[in-house]
Amino acid sequence: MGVMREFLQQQGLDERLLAAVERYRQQYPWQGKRSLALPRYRYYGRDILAAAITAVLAGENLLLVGPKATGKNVLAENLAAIFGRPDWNISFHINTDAAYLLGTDTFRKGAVEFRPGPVYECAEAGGFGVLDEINMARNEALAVLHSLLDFRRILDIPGYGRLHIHPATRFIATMNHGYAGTRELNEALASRFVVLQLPLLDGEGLERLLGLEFSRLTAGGRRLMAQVFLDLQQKSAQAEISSKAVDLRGLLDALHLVELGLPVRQALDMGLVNKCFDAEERALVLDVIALRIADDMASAELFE
Amino acid sequence: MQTGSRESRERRALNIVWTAAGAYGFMPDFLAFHRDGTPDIYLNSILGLAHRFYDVEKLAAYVRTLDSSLLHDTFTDILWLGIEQAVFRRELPDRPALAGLRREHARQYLQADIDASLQSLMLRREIIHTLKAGRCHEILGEPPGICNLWDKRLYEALDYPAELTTDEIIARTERILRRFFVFRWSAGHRAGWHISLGSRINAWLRRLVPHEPASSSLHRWRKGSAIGGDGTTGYDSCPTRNDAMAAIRRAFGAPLLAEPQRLRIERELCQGNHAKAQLYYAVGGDDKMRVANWAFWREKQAQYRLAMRNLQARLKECLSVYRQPLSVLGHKGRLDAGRVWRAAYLQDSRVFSAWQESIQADFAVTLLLDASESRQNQQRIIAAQAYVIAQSLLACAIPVQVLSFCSLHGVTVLCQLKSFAESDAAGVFGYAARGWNRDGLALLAAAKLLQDKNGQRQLLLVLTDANPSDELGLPGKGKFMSQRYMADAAIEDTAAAARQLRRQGVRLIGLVNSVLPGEVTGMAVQAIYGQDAARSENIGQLAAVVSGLIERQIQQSSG
Repeated sequence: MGVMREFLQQQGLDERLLAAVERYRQQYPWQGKRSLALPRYRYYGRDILAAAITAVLAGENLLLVGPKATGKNVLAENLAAIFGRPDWNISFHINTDAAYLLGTDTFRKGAVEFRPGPVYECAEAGGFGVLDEINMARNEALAVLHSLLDFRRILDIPGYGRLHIHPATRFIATMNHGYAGTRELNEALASRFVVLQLPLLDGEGLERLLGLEFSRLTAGGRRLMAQVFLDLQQKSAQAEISSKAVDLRGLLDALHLVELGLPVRQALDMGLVNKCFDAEERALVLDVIALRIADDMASAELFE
Repeated sequence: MQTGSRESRERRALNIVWTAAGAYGFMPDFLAFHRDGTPDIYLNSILGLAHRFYDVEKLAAYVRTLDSSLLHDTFTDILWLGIEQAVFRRELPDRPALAGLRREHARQYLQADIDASLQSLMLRREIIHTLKAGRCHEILGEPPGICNLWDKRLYEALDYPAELTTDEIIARTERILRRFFVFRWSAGHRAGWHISLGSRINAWLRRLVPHEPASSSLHRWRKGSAIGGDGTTGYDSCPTRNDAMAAIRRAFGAPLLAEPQRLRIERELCQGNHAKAQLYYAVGGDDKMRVANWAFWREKQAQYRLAMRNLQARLKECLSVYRQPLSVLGHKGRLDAGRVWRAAYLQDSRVFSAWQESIQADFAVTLLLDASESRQNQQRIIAAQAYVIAQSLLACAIPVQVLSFCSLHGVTVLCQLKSFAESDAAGVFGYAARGWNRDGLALLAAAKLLQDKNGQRQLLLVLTDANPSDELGLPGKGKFMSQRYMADAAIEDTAAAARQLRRQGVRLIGLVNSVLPGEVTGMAVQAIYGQDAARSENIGQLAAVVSGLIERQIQQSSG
């Protein structure tokens, strides 16, 4: 908790909230085999952090809603670390079904036995289950989670009995309402979560994130990259381009390439531009970058 | 190298301006291109940055004071040269890439100078060219090459610093014009060199001033005579019903339905509130409007195609869920041999699999476009949006037809712009806005054209401003006076028609696009469409709104 507590104090969170987190950790000390990972990125945003922590303390499941690059997964990982629990990240897709989530039968040592899925494992161990892009799956497939997510907190596995989930278990779902391929959650599922709308990262937040990820990136470089990203974000919000190029992971990947010596424009092409397969859209994205980044900008101009 | 269509190059240039301005709510009339047709990224960005830094209203007002001057083009170019220098210096610290873009711009300008044709040389204004070429040489690290002392002093005076405010730019430019021009070509009084020379200044003025399309007029088409107190006079003033129908036939062309069929429908629907109304079904749209709508589509197609791709992706995804029958385990159904052991060893009786019904995808869509006069200012946008929706549905193999409706001379006319049988939605561009809109009758009349095949579910998606009104009033009942077909009475009539359609199993959806704010149209939308409505104010929202509405209908259909 030391590192995370310090981080939360820096964010200005109420001491009473931090004390409650401490009590939770003492009540449910993690003793399992799965290691506790320190999140690679921190989530910055005092109000959102306070709201999310309060929800977890109250035993609620959280649904994090927001467009691309708002830090939904980062917040989920941060919460697991803050509460000292391991996280299970479960990616949802169109073919997600009960067996994928809960487990399936397998044959071992001449006998058929149940092989637990990630949701089962998480619920049994008292972890934090991150249901990533939950609205990519069919609502019918998610019905198996209803009893797990509501007040019953049980999981029936036919033939293998009933699992009462560990009291420390929490489920944190993420969804991007505007993504292609997503749909609305039905009311039955949505009612089992409390919902947090995550705001878009502003320039300051982006620069801070870049600074933490790239210690050698100069202040000017942080500002420049944040501005490029915000320009793309604005253009996408105006429906001039799709959200393909508004890819924070892509920007970070590109900066990793630059740090290793690749010219900046080439790295941004690989991280952002080439994700647009429509020629017109690619031209618009290239112009946005050209307005900030010179053709011949080298790695040494961004990194110390 | 020139790449892409003229429209896509213009869109690209426009996006450069918007990106630099950090704002998207304005349409500059001035865009800069290189000689090969590619957008000049530097000059367009300067235009956007000027919009960001300065009070464009004040600059426009200043340009107006130069209006009709003998040297108006020269003066405005001089102002622009000063602004370019100031903007560049101001933005450079935050945007180092601007220096490289400026060098490339200068290089291309000087190269074009070398390649200039005789006609270009004859047309250009020499003093401005000298100043621009001097600036470009200097940008490339060369001497400006200006020999004439007067030119040289003017060039030096245009070296605007970064920190100038709008007022200071205006004051400085005014001083330069007085110092270098007034005493050369006039007697020292501005009035002396102000002569009328047309409106080029206005064109420049519009370079800096954002403008938005004029708000939609709510003016209605009406026949010569005014509507009388009983709400029916306007219609009754037409010579006869037959004359009205004949006029409609001439205006709208070939009928869609055989006359006996039309009469049967008319007799059935034109009762009660619509007792004096007539119905006509036409094939196709208006050829004149088709040209205008198509031109608008071509101009804006990049943006609309993006919306089309998004809508198709969402619809396909939505259908991929609801079309695929879902295999579920159960206590009855088809025996799943691989699970039989579970009954014996685990006492799990769910060893059968069953397929969930997939009736949801079995539906057809009818787009019904309100084509009354109040939609005229948005006619081209509505045609483009309807085309996007219809083409997207077609791409997902969903049957779709497109109808428009309006009322003239008491005749409610439905035009079939695209039939279920047609494989392309281009007919939608024949959409023309005119007359009134008797929504209640139009909904009932459109329902007669819904596809009735194998119990297929029908979605009627109405693109509307939720503002029904017709010159032909509602007839009086008993001792009550007749009423005009507008406001609450028209909304109630339309809502009653909507209820009737729902009872018949038609899924009615309202896609509301109105110049009026949501608070004004909200009551009407709620009364007519209930929860099955959404507002879509711009093309960016269209994919999400339409797919959301359709998906909701599919979910409701599945119970």
